[in-house]
Amino acid sequence: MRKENKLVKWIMISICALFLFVMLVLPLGYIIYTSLSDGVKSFISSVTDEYTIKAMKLTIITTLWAVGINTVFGLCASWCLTRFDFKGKKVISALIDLPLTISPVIAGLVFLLTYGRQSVLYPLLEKFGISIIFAVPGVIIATIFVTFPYISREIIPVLNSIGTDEEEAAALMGMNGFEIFRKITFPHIRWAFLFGVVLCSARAMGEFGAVSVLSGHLKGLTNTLPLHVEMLYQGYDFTGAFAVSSLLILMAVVILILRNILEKK
Amino acid sequence: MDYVTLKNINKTYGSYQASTDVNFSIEKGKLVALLGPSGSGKTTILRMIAGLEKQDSGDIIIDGKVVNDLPGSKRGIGFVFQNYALFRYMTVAENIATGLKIQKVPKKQIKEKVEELLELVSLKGLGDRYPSQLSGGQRQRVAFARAIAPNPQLLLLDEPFAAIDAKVRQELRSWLKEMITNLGITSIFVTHDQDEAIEVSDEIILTNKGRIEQIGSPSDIYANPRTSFTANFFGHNAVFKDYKGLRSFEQVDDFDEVLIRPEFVRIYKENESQQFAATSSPGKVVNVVFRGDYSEITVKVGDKVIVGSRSMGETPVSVGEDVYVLVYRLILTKDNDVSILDNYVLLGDEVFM
Amino acid sequence: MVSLTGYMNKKGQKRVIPGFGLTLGITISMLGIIVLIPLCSLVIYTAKLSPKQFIDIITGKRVLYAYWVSFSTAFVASLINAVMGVIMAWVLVKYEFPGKKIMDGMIELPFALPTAVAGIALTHLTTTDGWIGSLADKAGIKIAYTKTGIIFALVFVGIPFVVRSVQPVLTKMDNSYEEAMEILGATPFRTFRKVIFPEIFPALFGGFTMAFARCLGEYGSVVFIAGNKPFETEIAPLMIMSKLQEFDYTAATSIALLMLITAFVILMINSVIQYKAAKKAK
Repeated sequence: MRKENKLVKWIMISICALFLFVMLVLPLGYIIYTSLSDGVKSFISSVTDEYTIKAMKLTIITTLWAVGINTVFGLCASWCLTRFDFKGKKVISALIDLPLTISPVIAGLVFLLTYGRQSVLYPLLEKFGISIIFAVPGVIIATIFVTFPYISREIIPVLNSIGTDEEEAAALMGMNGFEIFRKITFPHIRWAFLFGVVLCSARAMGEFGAVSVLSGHLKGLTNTLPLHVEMLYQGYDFTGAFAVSSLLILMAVVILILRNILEKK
Repeated sequence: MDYVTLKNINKTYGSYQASTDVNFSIEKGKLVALLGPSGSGKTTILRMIAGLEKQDSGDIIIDGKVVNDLPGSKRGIGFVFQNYALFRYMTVAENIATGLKIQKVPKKQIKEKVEELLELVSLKGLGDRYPSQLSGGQRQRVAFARAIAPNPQLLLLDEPFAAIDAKVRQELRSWLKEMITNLGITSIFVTHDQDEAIEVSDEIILTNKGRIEQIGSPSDIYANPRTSFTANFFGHNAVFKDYKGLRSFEQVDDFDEVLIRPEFVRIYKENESQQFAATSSPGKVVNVVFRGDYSEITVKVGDKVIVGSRSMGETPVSVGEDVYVLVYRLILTKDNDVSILDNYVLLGDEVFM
Repeated sequence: MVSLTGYMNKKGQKRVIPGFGLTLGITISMLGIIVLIPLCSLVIYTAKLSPKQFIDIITGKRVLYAYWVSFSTAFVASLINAVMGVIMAWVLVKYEFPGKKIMDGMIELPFALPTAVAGIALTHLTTTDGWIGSLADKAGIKIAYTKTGIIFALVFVGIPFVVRSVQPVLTKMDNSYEEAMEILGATPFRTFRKVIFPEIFPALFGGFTMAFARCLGEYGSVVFIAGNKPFETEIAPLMIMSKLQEFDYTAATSIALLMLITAFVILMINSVIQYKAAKKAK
């Protein structure tokens, strides 16, 4: 019996190892290998290319926006959903999770319909000279949409599990709302919050479908890194595409490591 | 002088009636137990006094002022939560200091007060610990110190002993009673444990299904239950449909149940001379459980199983032995009313009454 | 006793814990701007279509085929992930071996890696002169630019879902179940089928539907490997994309609406199953 179990164990482990190797390690290895196959020099020149830098800047700006907005939203939503009972609470939590189930392409389409030429809002936007579609705001808003639930989802379970006793005690002593949040609540959710920020950043940096619909692919203007990769690839600049991809892989690995550290906290 | 008064308080949660026409007053300096089974609305009452919940109708009066619209933090109360609700990310000293800091007490004074309180609750030197580094009993004492730090006029405690294991609980009960008595602070604590209420409080408010059943001193409420709920809630009652076969009781017809409490039962061995032999009923011992300082004895009298006790000093009885059982008080219930029926032979006899 | 803190009083009483109005206000307004208004505009836009138009578009041959490609590949990929996910969760929970932590940490890679990067990498690996593609080619199997390729990409995307749903259930499950079955003389297979599988089924199904819904809408990793030949490897999200590029918003919206409805139905089925499982567990 024991021997047989051991054999089963190692067969199972090998299956998993092989599967993960083919599906995850090989693709990443391949990208890094190919991006360096023309030499380090061409790698560096692709990475420091003017448009790559611009795309990176836009990606960082977009990510900052997404994280910033979702932090405000995530903290407010988790506070009011866990600290109070009110009618419509379930509807709100269902709506928050909605973006998770919507195809990124459809998310992009939805914003196109809201702010595009055929929208009722369009004349208004035009009057004020605001362009959202095929412009940076579109990219940002699409990214906020796809990452919308990421931070609140991490905080809500923690807030639910710690209960409200400590906050009630503090309120009875006369602490005001911001103090209660800062001194009593926040220390509890610190790690969950950071965890959410990490997940949100990962998704924001990598978003492709929704951004692709809204950006209009204007080189140097509305291209994020993933879109830039696509553009290079479609232009048969494989080394360039892979070099920029390597950057994104690096970010992904860093995020994964951060994730694993935070999860243990 | 009444310090806290609740007048016609009603409270519902959706369709659930948590408090129905609750009225009571508490004298200044008294230690009062809000006692009742879980779901009886006792915690809701406490939370309404604290301002953690708001009544739908009725008035709460503290120190002569109607406090209905006053937030809890302005009512001059200290609150000890069931799970203490210590701030887990603050040290013991910071926990105790929190209320004082909010009141903008000068730093030096805060420090002195914290030291004083730590000493009072015998936690001197543990000020730098975090709550997670303390035992259950220690945490309870921190919660107590934190609640009394801002010198509240009223102390509210929600199931203060529920989260502590049985051994320490006993110690803490006496500690808390002593502490509160010494401080002279008006206190209300919620409990579902009758022994705890009887032992610790000056007065018991018994609640059931959102209503007040009875208010009185522990001995009064125990000996003279006014409702069948109260009668059933206290003591280890044996419940019967009738009291046929028990001698020397007046015949009453109009009742639902008969309650017999162990302390109203005497058990005599056959050879023991006793003056009330004619009043006693013969029975057979079916079980004897040794309880340390006494033995709990179960006797079958006719079709009834009655529990009584014999102290260590008396000659032991054994299972199967024929004994005499003297019952000197029955509690009869009818709907929610109670009448007490005393053994007429013994009536007026000083020894038993 | 149940704490009913903050329960809305008829008179709208002030709550003990502050911040209700502020946080609810921010939550609702942001939810409105980011999620509700955009979704409403989708509904408004579709309402402008006549039913005939709508039906004509979604029953167009090319569109129907795209749905079929999306649906079938997503289903097969999720099925593969269900099987591999259970094996992987089992290995990660029940066995100790060197490199386990790394394996566990790697599972989330598809979440962290931009889909476009994954798409390009998988495509290059599986073309006939790629590392994997050339091997498969010898066996007469083409991967890139076929449905097999789409499934390959979708498997990549869906890996974390099943593993991460099943893993906590297996961790919580007591070893005594298996030991009891072993003492009774049951074969490991029987033990799995009769005891373990029913326990993990709700979680497995949940992971499966999440992966399926995700695969159905997946775009970035698939466009590169699919080759996008009409009536062959054209997926529904790509149809939406190409309609948008032709500025045919009507068609794009119709296709999107059907996909949205499908996704919701799948999630509804899942929540019914989860609800039943939770009831049974009581």
